[in-house]
Amino acid sequence: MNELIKVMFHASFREVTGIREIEEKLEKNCTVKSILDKLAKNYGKDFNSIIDPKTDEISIEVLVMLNGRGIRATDIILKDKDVLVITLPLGGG
Amino acid sequence: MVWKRNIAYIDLTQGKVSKKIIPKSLRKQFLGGRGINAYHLYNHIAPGIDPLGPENALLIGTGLLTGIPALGAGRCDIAAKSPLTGAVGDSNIGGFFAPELRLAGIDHLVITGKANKPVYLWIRDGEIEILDASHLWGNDTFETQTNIRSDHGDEEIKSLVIGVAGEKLVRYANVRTGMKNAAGRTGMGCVMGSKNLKAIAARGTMDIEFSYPEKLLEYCSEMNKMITSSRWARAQSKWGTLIIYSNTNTTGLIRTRNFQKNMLEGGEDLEPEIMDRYTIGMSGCYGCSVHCRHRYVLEEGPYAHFGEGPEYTSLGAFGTMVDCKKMETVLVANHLVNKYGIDTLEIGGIIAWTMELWEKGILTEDMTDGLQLEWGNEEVLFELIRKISNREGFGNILADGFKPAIEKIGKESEYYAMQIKGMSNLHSDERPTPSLALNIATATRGADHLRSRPAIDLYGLPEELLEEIYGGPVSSDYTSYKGKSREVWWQELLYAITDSIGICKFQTVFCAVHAPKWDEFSKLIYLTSGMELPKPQLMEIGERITTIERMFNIREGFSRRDDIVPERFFKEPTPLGFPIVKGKKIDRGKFKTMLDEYYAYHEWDNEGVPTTETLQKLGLNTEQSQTT
Repeated sequence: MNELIKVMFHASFREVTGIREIEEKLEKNCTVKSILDKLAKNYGKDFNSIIDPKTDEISIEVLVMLNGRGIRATDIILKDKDVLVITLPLGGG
Repeated sequence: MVWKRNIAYIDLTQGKVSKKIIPKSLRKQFLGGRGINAYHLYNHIAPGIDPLGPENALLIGTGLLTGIPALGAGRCDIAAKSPLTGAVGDSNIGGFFAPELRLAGIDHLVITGKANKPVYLWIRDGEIEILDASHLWGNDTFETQTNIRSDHGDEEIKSLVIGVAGEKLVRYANVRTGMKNAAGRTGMGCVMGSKNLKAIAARGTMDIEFSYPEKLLEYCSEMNKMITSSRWARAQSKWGTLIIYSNTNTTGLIRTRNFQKNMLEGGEDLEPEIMDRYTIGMSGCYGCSVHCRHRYVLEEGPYAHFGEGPEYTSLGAFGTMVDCKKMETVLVANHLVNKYGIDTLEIGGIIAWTMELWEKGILTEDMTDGLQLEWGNEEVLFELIRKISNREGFGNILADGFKPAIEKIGKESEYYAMQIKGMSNLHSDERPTPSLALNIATATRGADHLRSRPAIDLYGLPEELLEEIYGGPVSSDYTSYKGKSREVWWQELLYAITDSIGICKFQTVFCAVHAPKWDEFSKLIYLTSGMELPKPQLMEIGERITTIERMFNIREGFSRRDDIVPERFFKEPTPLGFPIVKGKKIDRGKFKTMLDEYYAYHEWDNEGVPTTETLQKLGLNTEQSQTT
């Protein structure tokens, strides 16, 4: 059975992709990093600097949320129906 | 001279004006803007007075840094006893008025009394006149500004004005300047209306002196480069605050149908890129390098207009909370409230409340002038905005705010009123976020996100970074209660300083981790005024401002029992959203512990009353003294 995750694009990432979300087929032991690497390869631009090369974690200037929770680690293994949101840390009221 | 800036006292009853130099001691203790206003709130307004009476003082204050070319340093603070809540009335407005007032030789105004007919203040290069405004009475906020410029033949005049809502003493009438800038909350426009004060107009060609101008300009340039090179600022300069909606609605952190759901299903047409259909450019306030304000045209239809905005909060007020799903609805409603001069958050919250009361059968047609208060009905939304602003029919019942309306509609309506201390909450749903719940519960002016919101709590930041920022352990999980009281306390002190130096919160840790905060503020204060105020002293000033506001509220009868979120937060779990936010309520016991901790950080007692030792440490004399 095909396992899928949803990747949602907000803020400048939506501007780069031109779309709001995609579904990605989940390969075995697929990590956050493998998805982000694939997005960087497909879209480039802002996607190239999501991971901080010094720490191999999500850059402080980016907000990646997994099922609504902000994450920093990129070695998290994704599961069927997970939702990744790629956005910027923009707070306010 | 840096230390020879003026505070003016205007008695509208007597028609008298006097000025004096702001004492250096007041600057060192309270800086300017909200700080010096808070000092006057406590010391110039007697307890128990009628907020609509002549004894209420309307306080206008430029920030200490007003006029520097960075960080949106053009903000003005406006304070008085609030006619909406009876507590601290305080609101902050951007745009271009504050620098003009400072260029005109005045930093602060204390306005008391009541004119016997409509008047406006005309402030020109150190001179203040009280002029007849009879011909302006009835003008909307746009017309008032245009007509004042035309009267004096000068397009550079900047004015604070009220619209019809202020004239009609709607208790949440705001003060406006420009196309959309507003001192929105707590009814400061109503206080102006109660004094027959239609506008305060300023035009200045004097110098603004700073202590180290060359180094200051260099540092401002550095600040601007830092801001404009950041991703968050670049995003805001394209989409404004609307960009926040994507994150919060996807997660489940937004009120819809008043408070029944926490996500707007089918809300795709409120996404930020929809504004591209209408936007003709972006604009900003004085000293701002971000420019987060849409300038747009709605070309067709009966509500065609040119406008500015809307903000994320208006998207909530006229979109998510009332279940309207079209951007055009938000644009029209936002333009109407700008025109009438009424607080977008308050009117949105109250209208959403009435729609839920209608749904529940508590409000019926005979009470609503025949209006069918159905969710998503934009014509009803527009009509209610008009009726409330003009105090017509059913609108008159709602024009005094939640508490009087509850008395008129009936006790069963109280449970659905999403208010704290009498003021409406904005459209965020704080049930999954204890830090944000504590923020709105304890804010000195009522349910309010701008007093202490630790928005960065939502980012899942590393705990080492949070500990570095906040000076103690804070959980990186936004649904946790651990360390959140510390966050709220810290942010409260920071925003008190932000509002007193007169810069924009969007260029501080309000929304970005590495944005300017204490050390940057210290350096700017030193370069502008020569005052050396390192972080600990700035935090102490923040403590002093927050504490004197707390003392004002206590004197007006507020207490710990008022530092609470509405009952629905404890009773109704969030129905939607990601698993992390779904099914969440605020835990009563954990909330109580957070509140105890928050009071302890302030060195107040268990009831939230500042102790004698704390007051002495802060140099606060609780015996009221007059400053004139």
